[in-house]
Amino acid sequence: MQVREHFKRGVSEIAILHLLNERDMYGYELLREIGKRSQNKFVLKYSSLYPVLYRLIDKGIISDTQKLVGKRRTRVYYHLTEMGKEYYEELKSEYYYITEGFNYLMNYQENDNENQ
Amino acid sequence: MKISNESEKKYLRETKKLLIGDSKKKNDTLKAYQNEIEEYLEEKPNATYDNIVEFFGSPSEAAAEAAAEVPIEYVKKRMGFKLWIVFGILCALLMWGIGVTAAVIDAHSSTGYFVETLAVEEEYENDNIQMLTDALSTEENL
Repeated sequence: MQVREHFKRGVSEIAILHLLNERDMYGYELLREIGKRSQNKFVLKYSSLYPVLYRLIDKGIISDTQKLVGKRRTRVYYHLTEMGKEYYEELKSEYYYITEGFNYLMNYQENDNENQ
Repeated sequence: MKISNESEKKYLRETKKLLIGDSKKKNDTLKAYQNEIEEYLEEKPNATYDNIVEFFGSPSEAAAEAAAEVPIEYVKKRMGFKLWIVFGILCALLMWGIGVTAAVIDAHSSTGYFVETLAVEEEYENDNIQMLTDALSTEENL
């Protein structure tokens, strides 16, 4: 569904930062954790995840480190920087502020307003 | 790094065809996809091409999302270059068309053979006749 994809796009950045605030993760791990923790209601594809990661690295919000796994494979771990931690806290409060307002909007009734 | 899985190879090949941006950006994107697909295949070794598409997005989705990160200046420059190529091809086609049309018109209007005209000067012809007559009369006298 196209609408759902738009919603997901809007909040994917917070979801990624939320997980990276816990610990460093690699791309596939991020996708897997997002799906698992949201009970598969918020499933991101790597095609949507990669540009967000790329943009966050560009802004200095996260950094990437390559680690050798086994003999030949490299794994790219993403790490939330100090600046990223501040950015995440700001973004989170913005998110709660907006969702609270949005909940008011969706549950608004004329009578409630008259009573206040 | 050598790619051993056929589905992964196909996915990366199709994505590569659709990616835009400078070659470094393209390589970085493909490398990132390759790394993550290999993580996925480590966990699901029997995954098919469709499974990869389901988890990672289709090659066109991958390319479209990556394209959104490409600076607009690059896209404009690339579009300008493409327009010049299209213009060049159109000019070449137009010239070829004119050439073909001219050849067809020429073929239709010609008779199919050449007419060659020989002009013999009368004075020269008379001299020859005189010489021939003289020679014959000399022979008769003998």
